[in-house]
Amino acid sequence: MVFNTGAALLDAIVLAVVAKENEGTYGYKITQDVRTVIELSESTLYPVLRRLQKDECLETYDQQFNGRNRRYYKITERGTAQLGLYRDEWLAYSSKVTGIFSGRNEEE
Amino acid sequence: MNRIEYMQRLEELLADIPAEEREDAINYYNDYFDAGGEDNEEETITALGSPEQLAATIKLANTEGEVIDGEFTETGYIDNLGRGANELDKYSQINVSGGERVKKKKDPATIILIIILTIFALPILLPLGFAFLMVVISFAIAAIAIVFSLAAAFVAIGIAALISGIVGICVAIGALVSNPYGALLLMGISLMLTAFGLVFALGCINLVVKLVPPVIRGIVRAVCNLFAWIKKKLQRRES
Repeated sequence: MVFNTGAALLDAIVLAVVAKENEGTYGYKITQDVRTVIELSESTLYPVLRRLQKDECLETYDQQFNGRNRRYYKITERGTAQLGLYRDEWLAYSSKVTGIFSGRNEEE
Repeated sequence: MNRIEYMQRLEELLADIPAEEREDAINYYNDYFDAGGEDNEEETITALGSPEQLAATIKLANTEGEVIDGEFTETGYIDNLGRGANELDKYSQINVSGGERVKKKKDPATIILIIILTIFALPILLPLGFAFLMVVISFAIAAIAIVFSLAAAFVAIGIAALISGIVGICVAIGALVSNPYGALLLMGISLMLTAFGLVFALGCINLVVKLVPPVIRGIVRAVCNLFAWIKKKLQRRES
């Protein structure tokens, strides 16, 4: 990938991926989903999830799956608000970048 | 390395973070292995990287309170995880901790406490440190003395053989007329002894010249390394 993904953008992508699942989702699936969007080593997501959890953007609960406990992540209200903020910022930012790439802004 | 060995190694490497954090991380990656499937454990291990790298990644989650949000650098990711450039080509460059770390400032009260404790401990620490220093130095001197005396002993054996050989030859020449057979026997033995003494003494001297300087250098270096190591430990505790 040519462009770097910043910490804020990675947070936003993770929040968006978790927010898609109403019942919550688990670490492995989050990693695979994020990897469909950006290149990322499989080990990288744990600190991000842990930080978002500490910041109360994500909450966790344990549930049995195939006889084993599995940890699920769910987005909190605070996380949803944060995601909304990220989404607006991204729209503004990406449309400006797209604008300058397609030459629209030059005429104004 | 199988999954169990991998997780054991990871747990060892995380020994220095709080128990709660360690358990959380171990749980997470156990889940990860479970979700990856029992048949794909090898692939999961490959995907996660070495336990050392993974432990470094996990420790990034424990930098809370030391992170400035917003600004981040590409190289920060490399520094934090100690990963090489080829790995960064493979993955996107993400600074997971979210920014530069701020050096933890020590509380003035803690500093004063440390100073007071140091003053009280000084009467005990000083003699102890001095005694330790003396023990190390005397061991080094003893080691050097052993090397020297061994070398001297071997050279002395050679020289003793040489001298007794020469004396034997002289005695044999004196007794040549009175007891020719005995004198010849003594002469033969003495010549052998002389030759042996000469070769042994020269061999030993040669060996000593070649071996002693590196051995002494080695001992001195070992002592220096020990002190450097202690210094490093002390400095780490301070920072």
